[in-house]
Amino acid sequence: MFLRWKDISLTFCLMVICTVMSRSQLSVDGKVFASLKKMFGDSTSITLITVKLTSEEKQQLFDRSRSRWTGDTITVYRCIIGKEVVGYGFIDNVKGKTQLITYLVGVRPTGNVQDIDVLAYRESYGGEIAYESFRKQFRQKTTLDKLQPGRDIKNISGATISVHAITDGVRKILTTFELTHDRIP
Amino acid sequence: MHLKYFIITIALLTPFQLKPLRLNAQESTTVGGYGELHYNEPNGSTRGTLDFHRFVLYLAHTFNENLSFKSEVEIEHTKIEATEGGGAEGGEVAIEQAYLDWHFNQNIGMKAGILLPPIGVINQFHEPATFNGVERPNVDRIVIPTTWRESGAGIYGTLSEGVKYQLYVMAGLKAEDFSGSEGIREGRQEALESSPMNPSFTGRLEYVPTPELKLGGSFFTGNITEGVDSLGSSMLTLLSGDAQYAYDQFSLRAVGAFISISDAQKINTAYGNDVADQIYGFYLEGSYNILPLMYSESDQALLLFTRYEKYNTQSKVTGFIANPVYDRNEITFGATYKPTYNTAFKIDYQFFNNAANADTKQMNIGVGYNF
Repeated sequence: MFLRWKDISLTFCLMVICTVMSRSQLSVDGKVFASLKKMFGDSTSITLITVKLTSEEKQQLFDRSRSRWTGDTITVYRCIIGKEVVGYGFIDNVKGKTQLITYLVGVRPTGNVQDIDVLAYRESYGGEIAYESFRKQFRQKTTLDKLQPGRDIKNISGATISVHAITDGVRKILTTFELTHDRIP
Repeated sequence: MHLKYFIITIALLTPFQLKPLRLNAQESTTVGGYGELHYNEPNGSTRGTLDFHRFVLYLAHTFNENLSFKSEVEIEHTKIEATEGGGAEGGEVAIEQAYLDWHFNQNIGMKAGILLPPIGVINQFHEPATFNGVERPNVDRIVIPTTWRESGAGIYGTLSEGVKYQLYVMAGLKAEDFSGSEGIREGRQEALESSPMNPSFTGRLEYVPTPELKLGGSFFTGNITEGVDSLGSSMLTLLSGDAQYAYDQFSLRAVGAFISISDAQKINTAYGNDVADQIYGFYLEGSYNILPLMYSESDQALLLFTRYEKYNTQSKVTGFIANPVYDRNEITFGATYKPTYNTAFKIDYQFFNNAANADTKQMNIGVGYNF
């Protein structure tokens, strides 16, 4: 036999040991905090606030961005340096070809995108949307921008579904911010 | 024996990569699909045929953050019917993909099941709205035998930002069914009781320096003898390169493939075939989206395109004279109207030429979708 039972069982035992040893995982918040500090600066302090959407806001969000949040409340990561609010982080999931893409959008108080980050991409195709060269296209964008693949957002061959999904996601978050920023402390 | 240590090393390395994000992908099942209806009219004056060429359903399941299942089931030409003689006529029902995808992180994942050799563009991405022309390019049918799928397993991931790799070992091709006219196409075992006699390696490196440009290089190599002694140690090696570039509304796609078969003469002696030592093919396609010129606010697309293909399934032969009919080139021009990015209405006209000058023409009209 090409692989002997001794080899197989030894490999398996070592794999189990390695797996147990490597179970130091970042929590969602840990990952989001790290990403927001990268966007807004290391000295950023972050607090979580919850915003409840009114049914009128939900309808307006749908009319303007063709998307909805599941549930009534959203979590906003408020970023502060000193006493000044420098931005807000929103996390969300959009559907790729078959699986969810978890992403983060950092929005400045002015409503411009500071940066976006792909927190989890779970499929083997289309992960190019996490590249810096793609993400940087969203910086400075506002709800006044077209936010349309093939126009102001360049498509990536082989990642078309993901490109459309995350572009729609960014529009949803910018619109949500526009509708609710008066109420976000 | 070195391979054994390679496998053990890979197995040991993978757990270190296991750092689930704990963003809780919930267990869920999704359904999708694509399909295309074609009208093909040969020679411009003869009556053509309407054919719902492909109807494909995707079924996928997410087990947890890292583990998922993906599949693609296809019905070609709408139906298969039993004939009185006990046979069947019509199209084909096939599982084109069915695999477990263990996505450890962006750097490494593992797939096992029925996989697509990652060769060229269309074999991996064949949804009708992703390519121009009603019919797939013939280079992607006859030289790269799309849809090429086979039982196998391997790894994929991102090496560094912009560089992705795929590497699989899968059941090989069968030399017995190679031919002069269609090259290696009929040699695919298609995961139907595939013989494991000729494990083959296939892989791809992909480079995306900017969203506008994607460069890819692929290979497939393995023995093709199926243990038949008279074939000696006949090997097949396929090398392929592709480039996709988009600037503003202009897009360019180039694909090339080269196949080398060693001991083709022994295959021909054993089976009475006319298999070549070398096969090659390439195409170049340019397209321009003219819709923004007319409607600047529109999110639809109207692409005008033209494609030049050249391929020869007997570019080098030993022991017989190559048939000039297999030295072919094609020019296609047409339009693709896309009301959304995943739906397409297509029309095109094709000129097929070969070195024996038996030229033909064909008009095609089609609709396609994917979701």
